[in-house]
Amino acid sequence: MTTPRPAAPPEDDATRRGVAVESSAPVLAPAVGSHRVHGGWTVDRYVAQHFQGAVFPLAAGLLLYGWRALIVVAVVMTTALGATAIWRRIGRRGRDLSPPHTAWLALLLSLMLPAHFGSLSGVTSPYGVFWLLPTAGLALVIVLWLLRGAAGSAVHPVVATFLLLAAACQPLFISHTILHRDSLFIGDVLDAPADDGAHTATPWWSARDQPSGVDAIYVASPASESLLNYTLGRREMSDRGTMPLTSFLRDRLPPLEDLIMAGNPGPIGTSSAIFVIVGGLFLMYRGSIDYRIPLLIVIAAFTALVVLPVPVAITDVGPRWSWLALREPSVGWAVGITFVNYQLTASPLLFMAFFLATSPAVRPMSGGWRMVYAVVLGVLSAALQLYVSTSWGPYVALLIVGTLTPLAERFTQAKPLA
Amino acid sequence: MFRPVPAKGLLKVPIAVTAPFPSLEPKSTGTNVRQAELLLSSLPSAPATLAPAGGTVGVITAATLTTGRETPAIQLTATSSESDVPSSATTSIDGPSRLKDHLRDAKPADIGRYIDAFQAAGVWADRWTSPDLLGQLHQCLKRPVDTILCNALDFDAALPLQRSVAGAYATEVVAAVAMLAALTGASRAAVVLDVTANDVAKSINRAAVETDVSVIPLRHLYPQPNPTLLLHTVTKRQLRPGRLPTEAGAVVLDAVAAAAAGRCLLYGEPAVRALIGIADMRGQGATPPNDQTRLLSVPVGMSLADVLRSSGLDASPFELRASSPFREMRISTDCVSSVGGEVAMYLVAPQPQVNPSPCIRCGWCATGCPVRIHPADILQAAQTGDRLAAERHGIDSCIDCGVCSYVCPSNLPLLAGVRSLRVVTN
Repeated sequence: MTTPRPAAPPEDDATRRGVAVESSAPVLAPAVGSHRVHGGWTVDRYVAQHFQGAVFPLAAGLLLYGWRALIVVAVVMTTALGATAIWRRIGRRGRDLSPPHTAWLALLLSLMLPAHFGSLSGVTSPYGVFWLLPTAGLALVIVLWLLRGAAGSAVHPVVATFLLLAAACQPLFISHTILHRDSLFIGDVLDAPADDGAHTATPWWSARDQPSGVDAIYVASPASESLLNYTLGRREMSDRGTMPLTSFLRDRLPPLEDLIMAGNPGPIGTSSAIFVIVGGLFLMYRGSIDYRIPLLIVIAAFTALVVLPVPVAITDVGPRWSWLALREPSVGWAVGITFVNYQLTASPLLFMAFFLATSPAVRPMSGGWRMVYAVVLGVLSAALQLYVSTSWGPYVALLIVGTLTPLAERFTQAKPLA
Repeated sequence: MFRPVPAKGLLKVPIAVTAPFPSLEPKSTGTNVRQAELLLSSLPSAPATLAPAGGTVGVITAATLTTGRETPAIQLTATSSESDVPSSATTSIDGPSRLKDHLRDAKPADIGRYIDAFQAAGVWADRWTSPDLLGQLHQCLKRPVDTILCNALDFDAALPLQRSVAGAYATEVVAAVAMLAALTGASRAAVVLDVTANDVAKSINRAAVETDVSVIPLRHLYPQPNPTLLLHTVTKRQLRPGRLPTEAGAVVLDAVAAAAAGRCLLYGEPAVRALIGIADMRGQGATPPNDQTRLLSVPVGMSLADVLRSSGLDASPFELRASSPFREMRISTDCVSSVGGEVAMYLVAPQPQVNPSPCIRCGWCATGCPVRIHPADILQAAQTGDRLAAERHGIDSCIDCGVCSYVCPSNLPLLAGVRSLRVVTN
């Protein structure tokens, strides 16, 4: 939809002053943008409400990744806003760009990026990782402009931008470092040892010792990568014999508390599941999002992760797959549910469910189809993160399901009352 | 409760006909007339044009009703100032017993006679809460009707016009509803009230003791008074906006129209005064204090400027809106009062012109729409002139309530978009 042009000023000076006109003809079809009794809500207020929910994952990200995360957020948002200010003056589509809305989307995009992008080393080179930040901001605005301000399609601009960047620079998006708890916020997340030493079962936030002289902890294989390797049946070079699921969870993955609270490296805004959930619950409490969407996504994803085939063991000849893995004697309910919990917290599924899938640009208008949309999204996310990419599977699922929304709405639009 | 406004000065008595206007044969200019005297020869299927006060007939001119419709009018210079005090003839009439007599004698075959009586008394209504009453009654001659609903709901608590009419004229309202039920053979007749209007409900129940008229309390949320929504809520029937409720087997009229019809039935009183309400919403709070709401009985043909002046509400600046403040129906103070036009008026502060922001697809317009259409998509269709797309998104179901424009955070002119496409189509 194009933004209507402002109305021409009224001809009569008395009308312009708001004085009751004695002899003009009555006006019953108001001009575009003319005087209206209005509820008082503005785009700024609407977006501000969403910002309040994002404060929680943003705060967690700044604490866990320090000032580099702040650089990432600041550069992406500044670039996006600057590009919007310029682009708004260009063409009819430019008017569809809204600065507060762009700022909100830029914040979401920056929360999906790793903190090590905020590195000034290599900034003099065009191939320095820092330049991905303004590129991200600019790409977001271009995508928004193409999508007519997200009012003309069911593609989430943040997801589209992220996937474009990730497809071009895939290895750069894997995060390996996170600040130690004694260096929260002020530490340098890139100041980490070259290796992660012995794998520990102690949660990051309780008792893990800080490596001497550095601010951060290095993790060679974050949980998302380890999980993907396992579900794809890949073995590490040093592995011999059979690797059952139980051993994998115990020996290869960090404590589940690290993914729930903090301690496992990842994107800025998705590393702490609890903060993402709190932010999402806050948005639900304020009525900013439809609670059914994240609830059903999580339930559907949980169910799908329980049911979909996963390797219950990786042997020398290859993985041994099983549907409904927890019924296997070697797995059991406890291990099966634990594996599902790892999948839910290691991937950005929760962040996608609360902050992206609930966006008006992609979610259906009608209540009934929203529930179907959420269930399909949850199942597809689970499948994609198991067999394609744990880090990006939920985003790809959102892209696919979102593009199907207009088609489905055509057939499921609520029948008018009359 | 309804303060009578004396008739004085120049009145423009509207002739309630629709275009194309027939040739008119009014009384000669300069003729002196008494109150309720015919001002021009009867027109077929149109209510009679009666003098609201004694005075001198002037020329034929044009006037605009509070619905925005332009209509021819007869100028009348009022020379006397009768107020709405019931004449000795009416006060001596026992309404309930007269009603009993009417009900006893009423037969469906008599409906034509009663339609003529209403027309001769100048009783008519054609507004948002009360669709073309005479048109509905004419349709009753051909279509079966099983429900009579009297809509005594108000748009908001700031202006309890319908509720006040139902309370003050309970006998007349019940009489109209009961008679319509008897004439149409309707099996159900009811007055719809807000759940909080207990006192009015008691009055109605008392007046309806020997009739089949019941009271339906509704938890009222705007825009419940709209006939499409009201019919759906009470009877679960669907009525396309703009169509008469008789197409859904019901007659819907508001309390103001029912009171006028009831007074005609019981006392033979002509409809020469309009019961209107004006709420001054220019204050800070959402609900104006009581002294800023006026319930008035004004002579037909009086300009709203004169009405405001006589009720002390004309302190500028203001913007005058008819029907509901959300419907964006700005009217001029030159509009004239009438029995059948919009009767609820709101004074609002002149709003600064706001440029719309881009649509952010928040979906609030669709969520808030009481008839479940997609206003944002309709606006988009209006901008491209795509009537088919607008129909797909439900433009024909729009009841013109203005909720979408009210809630839109981007300040998009959603209601104006719907109206513009309808104008183009018409």
